[in-house]
Amino acid sequence: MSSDAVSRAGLPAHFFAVSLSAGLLALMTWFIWSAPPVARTVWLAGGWTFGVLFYYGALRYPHWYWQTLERWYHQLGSPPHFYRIAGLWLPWLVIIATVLCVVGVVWGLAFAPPHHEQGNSYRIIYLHVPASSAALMAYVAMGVAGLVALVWRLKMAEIAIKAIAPFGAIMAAVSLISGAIWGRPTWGTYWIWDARLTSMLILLFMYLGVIALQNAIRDPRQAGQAASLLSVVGVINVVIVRYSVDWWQSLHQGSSMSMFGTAGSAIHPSMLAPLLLCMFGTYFLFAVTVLVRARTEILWRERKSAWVREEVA
Amino acid sequence: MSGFSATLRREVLLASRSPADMVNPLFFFVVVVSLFPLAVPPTPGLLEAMAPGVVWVAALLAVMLSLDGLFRSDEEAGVLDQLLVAPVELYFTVLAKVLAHWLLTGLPLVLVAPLLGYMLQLPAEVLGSLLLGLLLGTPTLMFIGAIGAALTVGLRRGSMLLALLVLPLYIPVLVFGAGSLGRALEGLPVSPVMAVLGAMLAMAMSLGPFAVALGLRISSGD
Amino acid sequence: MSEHPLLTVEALACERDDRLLFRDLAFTARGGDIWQVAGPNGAGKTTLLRILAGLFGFYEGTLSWHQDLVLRQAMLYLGHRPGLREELSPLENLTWLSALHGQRDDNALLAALAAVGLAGFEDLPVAHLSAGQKRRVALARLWLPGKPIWILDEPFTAIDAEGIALVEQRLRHHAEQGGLVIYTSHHRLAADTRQILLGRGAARVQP
Repeated sequence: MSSDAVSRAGLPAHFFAVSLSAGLLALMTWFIWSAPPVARTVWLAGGWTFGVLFYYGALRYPHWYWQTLERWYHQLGSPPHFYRIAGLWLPWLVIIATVLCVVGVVWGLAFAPPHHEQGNSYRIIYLHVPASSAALMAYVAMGVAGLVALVWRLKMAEIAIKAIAPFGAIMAAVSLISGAIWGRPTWGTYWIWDARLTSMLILLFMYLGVIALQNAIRDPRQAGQAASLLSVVGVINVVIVRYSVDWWQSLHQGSSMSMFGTAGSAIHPSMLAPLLLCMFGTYFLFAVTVLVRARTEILWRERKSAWVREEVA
Repeated sequence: MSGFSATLRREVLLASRSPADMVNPLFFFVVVVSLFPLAVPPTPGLLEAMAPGVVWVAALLAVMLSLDGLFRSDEEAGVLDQLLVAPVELYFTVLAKVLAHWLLTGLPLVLVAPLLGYMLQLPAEVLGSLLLGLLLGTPTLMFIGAIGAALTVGLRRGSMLLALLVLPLYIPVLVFGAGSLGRALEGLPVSPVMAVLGAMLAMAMSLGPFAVALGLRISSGD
Repeated sequence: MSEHPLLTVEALACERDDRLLFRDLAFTARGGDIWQVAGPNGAGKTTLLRILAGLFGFYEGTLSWHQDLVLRQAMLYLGHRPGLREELSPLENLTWLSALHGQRDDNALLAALAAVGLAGFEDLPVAHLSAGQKRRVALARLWLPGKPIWILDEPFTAIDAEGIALVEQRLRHHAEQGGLVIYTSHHRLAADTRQILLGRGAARVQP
C-alpha cells in the first residue's frame, strides 16, 4: 500500500493499515447486519457466492489473479482505457437494467398479490425499497472510491465520486418522497421522525454536502480529493447516525412502525421475487448512470488530449 | 512532540492578543439561548421540555461558527504552508491547535451552560448532566468541525459551505448530547449515554486530527 | 554532498485551472547551486516552488530529492506571503517556527533579527511593522543554521536596496557553504546564476 495518504497526514503506516482493515471489517459487518431483511438476504447470498468464487480462484491460480488485478488497476486507472471499457460494457448493462426493471415493475404492480392489510398501496415498495437500498449502497461505494482516491490518488476514483454523488442524492430523494406518499395512507401522515426516515434525510444532506464541496473547489483534482475525504468521513458518520437515530427513537418512544407490521416479519415470496428484480435492476441502473457520468467527466477533463479529439471527431 | 507544546503555547498567546475571537462564540451562545424564551409562549413546562435541544443546538452552532477562523487566519498569513513543510508530525500540531481552540472557546461555553440551563428553568439536579454532556460533546464537535474547516480553508465564502458539510456530521453528538439531558430530566441514569459521548470523543480525538491533517494537505493542493 | 545531485527533476509538467503552466521541465540541482525561477506573472513560478517544497502534488513527471535527504528537515521554505501572524511579535513568530523545526535557541533568533536590521523591534507586534520589515522578519530565518536547502518565493519583494544587497550576499554565502538556493524573482543574482524561465506553457533551463 502506498504511504502517500499516510505521509500526508503524518502518521505511521502500520497505524493506518490496522485501523483501515478493522474499520472496513466493522463496516461490512454492520452493513449486512443492519440491512433490511430483504437486502440482507441478497447481500449475504451475493457476498458469499462472490467470496467463495474469488478465494477459490485466488488460491487455485494466484499468479493469474495477481496479473489480472494489476491489469485492471492500470486499465481502470487510466481514463482512456476506462472510457473504452465502459463503452463496451454499457449496452449490456443498459439491456440488463431495462429488462430487470421492466419485468420487476410490471410483475410487482400488476401480478403480485395485494397486501392483506395495506391493499395495493404497498406496491410503492417496488420503487421505495430499491431506491433506499441504492442510496445507501451508493454512499458506501463513494466511501470506498474516496479511500482509493486518497491512498493511491487514482484520478478515476475521484471521477467515480463525482459520478456517484448525484445518483445517490436522487435515490435518497426518491426514497424520501415515495416513503412519504406511502406513509400518508398507512401512517396517516406524510412525515414522521421515524429512525429510518431521519437517517435517509441525513444521508441526503450528506450527499448534498459532497456535491456542494465539489462545486466549490475550482481545481478538479483538488475538488476530487476533498470530496474523497468527506465521503470517507461521511461513511463513518452514516454508521454512527444509524445507531444514534435508532437509540434516539427508542428514547422518545415514537411510533416504531415498520414496513410490514411488526419489524422483521417475513415478506411473502410472491411479493419478494419482483422486489428482488427491481432491486437488482436499480443496481444495474446505478452502474449505467455512474459509467455514463464518468465517461462524460473523462471527456471533459481530457478534452485537450489527442485521444479525446479523435474520439469526438 | 516538540511541535505539540510549542503550538499549544502559541495558540494561547494568539488568543490572548485577540480576546474577541474567544469571547464572541460565548456571546453568541448566550444570546441565541436567551432568544428562545422570548419566542415561545411562557407555558409552564414548555421551556423545560425544549431546554436540552435549545442549549445543545446553540452550543453546536457556536462551536461551528468559531471554527471558521481556526485555519483561515493562518492560511491568509501564509503560516499554514509553514506548518505543512515543518518536520513535525502534522497530526500532533493539528491536535494541539484544536485542543487549544477548545480550551479557549469551547470550555467557556461549557462553563456558562449551567447558568443558561437555570434560566431555561431546568431543575438544579440535571445541571450536572448538562455540564458533563457538554464537556464530552463540545471537544467532539471541535474535532469533527475542524475537518470541515480544513477542507474549506482556501475557499472564499467558505463559512456557509462549512455549515453544510459539518452539520450532518454533528447529528450523532447532538442526539446523544441532548438525549443525555432528556434522560436526566426523566430521572433515568445518564451514565450509558455519557459513555457513548465519551466514546465519540475518543474516536474524534484519535481519528479527527488524521482527517484534518489530510484535509489541510488537500486544501494546499498536495 | 556536492558531487551528488540534491534534486533531479524530469519531464515535470503542471496544469492548473485548465491552463498548462509548464511542461518538459528537467534540471539537476546540486549543493552550491543558486537557481533563479523567472517568468511573467502567472507563469507558474510559485506553483513550481510549491511543487518542489512538497506543498503541491498535482503534477506529472518525476521529482526526486537525494535519497539521504529528509526534505522537511533539510528545507527552509519561505512563501510569497511572509508567514507571520500579525498579532504576535517577530520573536514570538520565529520562536514557534523554530520550535516546529526542533530548534529552540533564543539567542540565535535575536542574532538573526539583528542581522536583518530589526534589533529593537523584537517585541513589537508584527502588525506595527512596515511591509519591508515584515519581509525582513521572515528572511531572518536565513540566518538560522541547519537548513542546507532554501526554497524562497520572491525574497526580494518589499525590501529596500540595502536589504536586497544583504539578502543577495546571504544567498551567495549559503551557496559557497555548499547549500542549495532556489528562488523566484525577476532579480538575477549574478550573470552565471542558473535560470529556469517559465512562460507560455513552456520551461527553459539556462545555462
